[in-house]
Amino acid sequence: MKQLVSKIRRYLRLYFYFARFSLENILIYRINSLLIGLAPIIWMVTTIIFLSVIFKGTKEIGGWSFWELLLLTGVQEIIYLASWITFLGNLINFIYSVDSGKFDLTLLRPVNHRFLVSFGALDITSILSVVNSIVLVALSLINLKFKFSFNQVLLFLLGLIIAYLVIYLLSFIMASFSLFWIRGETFIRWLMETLDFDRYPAEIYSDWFKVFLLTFLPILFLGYVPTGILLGKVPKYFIFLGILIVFWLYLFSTFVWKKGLKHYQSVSS
Amino acid sequence: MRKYWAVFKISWQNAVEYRAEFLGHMILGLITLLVMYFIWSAIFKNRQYFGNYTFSSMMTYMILVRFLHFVKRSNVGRQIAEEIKEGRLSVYLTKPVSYLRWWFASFLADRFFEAILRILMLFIFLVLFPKVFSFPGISRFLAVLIFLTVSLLVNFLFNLFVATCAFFVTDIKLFHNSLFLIVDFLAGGQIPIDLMPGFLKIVGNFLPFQFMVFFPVKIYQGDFNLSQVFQGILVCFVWIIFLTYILRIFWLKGVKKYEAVGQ
Repeated sequence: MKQLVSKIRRYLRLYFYFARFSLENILIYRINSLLIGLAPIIWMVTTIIFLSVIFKGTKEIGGWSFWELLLLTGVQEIIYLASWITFLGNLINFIYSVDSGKFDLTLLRPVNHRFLVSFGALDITSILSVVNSIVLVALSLINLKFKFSFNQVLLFLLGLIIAYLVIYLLSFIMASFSLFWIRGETFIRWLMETLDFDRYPAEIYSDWFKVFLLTFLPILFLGYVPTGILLGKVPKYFIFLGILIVFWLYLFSTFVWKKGLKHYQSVSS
Repeated sequence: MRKYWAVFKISWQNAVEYRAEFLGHMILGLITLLVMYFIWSAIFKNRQYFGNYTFSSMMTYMILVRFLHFVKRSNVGRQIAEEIKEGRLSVYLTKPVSYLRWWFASFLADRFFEAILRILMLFIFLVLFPKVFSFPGISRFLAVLIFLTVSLLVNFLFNLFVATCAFFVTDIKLFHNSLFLIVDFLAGGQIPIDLMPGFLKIVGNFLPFQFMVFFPVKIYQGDFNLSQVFQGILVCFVWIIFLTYILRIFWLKGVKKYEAVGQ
């Protein structure tokens, strides 16, 4: 137990250093960083305009109103940005490092390699956009005249944690494929593109496709499930299904990672 | 002219070599199209018209947006800006070639190859989903293809204009992504310009980005009469002249300011 606590402390300290180093990097090019963070804001504005246009003359899509859909957009964007801030950039760099052979350097370091390739740096440029998404969520909740129930909020927060773990594990699996096929960037790009399916209520999809997006490619757990839980549109047992999926994805990601490390040949270096 | 023809041929071979990457990129775009199919199916569930659009005309619009992806791509601007930023432009400036013509030859080869692949994609759609995707006849389709050469010119000039900003601010990553999100939206890449809210509709109809998506799609769908088409083409040429003019100013001023920092 004592050993575990000291290990956790060590990694928390390490993560603190990563965060500080990333922040220092950002502060060198303050204006650049702020402007790079503009893209998610513009994306959100165009999405809101798109939604307001498609809601002209219709009160709901798939049983979801305009503000409910905006809430879904905000929640999904928070998870997406959290992924960018904490691990997505690192995993893309990991893919390039496999391609160039620089991954050898990571393997030589006396730290858990999975931790290092996933959380070795933070992309703090997107933090402003998270604030933007939080404002969108708050606005939606106010317009929906949402009444808080402790259980619902608790399940929603649990849903957000599951969402973060699902996107992390899926991205990690896709990135680990690069250990087998070298140019693995395409896998991550595919995954990012499929996130589009989670931007709209799953009720618009056919039943088999909905099942597919909840099990084989469980991206509906990113925005749709937590938002649906909060609004009472999704059964509460989906949270338990989410926990099972996280567990299964974790096992699968560990399997792919270990197999991939054995397969890695350090071709370029 | 022969040297630019050589650049064209090399770039064409390059594009053919990376055809798998092109195909992967195209299939990637089909995911967005599938999402659009589901969302517009839900909207048209209880109605026949949305604005002036039927479900079939809206899906035709969306499929053509995917087809026209090669017309609105912004990679050239990013690549040229990188060359300016890293000082690699110097290599070209010392050669007896025009840098802009060099890039234009390469740009044309790349886009022509992609256009062929995307026409094949349209053909597959036409065979597999004739109820969703409508074909207006070969003459109108050819008219669109001819117009697309002008659209490509608008795209190239605008990309160059954005790239030349790298002479003055060094790193255009600052606004490149944000700018092209706006360009895509105002070109009608997400929703047709005629469905946009009032102010955006005016802006969209004024700016040259409409000629990359909305305008050619409308020609394809036969929603413009002949005088509207000619009026549009005239406006497009005015924009081309304007873009060429400011590009020339920016380029000359930029090259004078250029310090080849990265070399």
